[in-house]
Amino acid sequence: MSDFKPETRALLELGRGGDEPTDYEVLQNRRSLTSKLGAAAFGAGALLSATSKASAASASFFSTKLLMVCGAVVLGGAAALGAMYLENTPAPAQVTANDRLPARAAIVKREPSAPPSSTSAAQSALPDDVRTAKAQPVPARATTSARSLAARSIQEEFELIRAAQKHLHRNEPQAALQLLNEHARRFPGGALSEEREASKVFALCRMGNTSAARAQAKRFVLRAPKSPFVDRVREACGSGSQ
Amino acid sequence: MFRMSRAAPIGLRESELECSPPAEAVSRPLSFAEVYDAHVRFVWRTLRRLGVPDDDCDDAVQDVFLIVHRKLAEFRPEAPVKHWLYRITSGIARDHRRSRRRKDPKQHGLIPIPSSEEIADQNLQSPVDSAERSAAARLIRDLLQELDEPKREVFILADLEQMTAPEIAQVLEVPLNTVYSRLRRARSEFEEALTRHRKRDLGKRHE
Repeated sequence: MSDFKPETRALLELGRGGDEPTDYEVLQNRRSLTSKLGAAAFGAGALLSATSKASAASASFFSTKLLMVCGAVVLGGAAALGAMYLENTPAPAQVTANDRLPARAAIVKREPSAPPSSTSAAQSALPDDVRTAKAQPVPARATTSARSLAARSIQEEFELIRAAQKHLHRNEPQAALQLLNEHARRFPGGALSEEREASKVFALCRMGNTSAARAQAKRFVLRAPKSPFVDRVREACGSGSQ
Repeated sequence: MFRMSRAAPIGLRESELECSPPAEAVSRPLSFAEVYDAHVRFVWRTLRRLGVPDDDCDDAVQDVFLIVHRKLAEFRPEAPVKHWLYRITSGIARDHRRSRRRKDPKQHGLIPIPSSEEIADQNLQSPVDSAERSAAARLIRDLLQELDEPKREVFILADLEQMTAPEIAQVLEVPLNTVYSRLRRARSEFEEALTRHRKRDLGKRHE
């Protein structure tokens, strides 16, 4: 219903999705806010009604989930996983930033109806160490040593995944796959496992190994059906990677 | 810091979250964290589009949510939370524009070479595509600065956020006809600004 000339419409379709913050920026922002408002603001204390328990668990779970899907972004460096809100289809003009949200929100919003100990699909998508580690909300002043250990390990995961993605960008899928396999060896249940598995699909596609890519994609969708990467993984080698 | 509301629960429905809820969504009050997680990106991109410089966006987003946190208890559930957020956001954008002028020269004629951070960020999207998208977004924002604030707002909500006119009327608290007429003029001014830009751009290339 546009009054626009075609080139104006094209400009809008292209640029509409270009104002999004990266996941890294959002995470940094959230952390700054947390330190200004206190951890309680993002946790149980911020509740506005009497339905405390479920929401408390879910509120802290949200921050956990954000950490997981944003990977090791907490620790500086660029987001390895930025583009959940940016388009990554071959024709970016067709998809707006809002299209991605339902997949992500589906994960986020499932949690309130299921206590943290449930075995819903969203929960089982989490690697074990993240799930158990985050059974309690992290207090504002967690011990430095526990945190920095976890931080170092995520940092290393992050370096690996990011390096792999750089290889993919430079059209070096073999090198990418090597690093992704190393990640799988060193961090089998790591925080960035979802990112690794998704990246493997893309690497296999780029190598022309379509059947392996599709098999991997199938496994991925089974293991993490609510993952924000599901759509991209399915379409990775072109249509038909179901 | 924990507040038990004696009044009726705030009653922000899950359907107020930015995206369509899954089938099993249950209507229940939302927490500050949920409002943040659901709408922070909307707030961020709106601030950018309203002319807040990139460097200031992080602070501006925090300013918005500091207000949200303070006022969340007063929020009346009849209105969608996103509308309420927009009004806070545009107020903050105004403050930021007043207090700081953008000094960057307009660069939208150039396609910037993405840094390695940007490439990693786009997560396997072609570097050229994401650079083009960023350049397009930047051009749109620059062109928007040539519109006055009322027109800029309707344009952003209609043609970037893709809200319906009735929704925009609700958000901006203006009559529906005002939205239509403002939007018509906003679009034609935007087109004119784009034409001027293209002429300048062509002129530069022939230098």
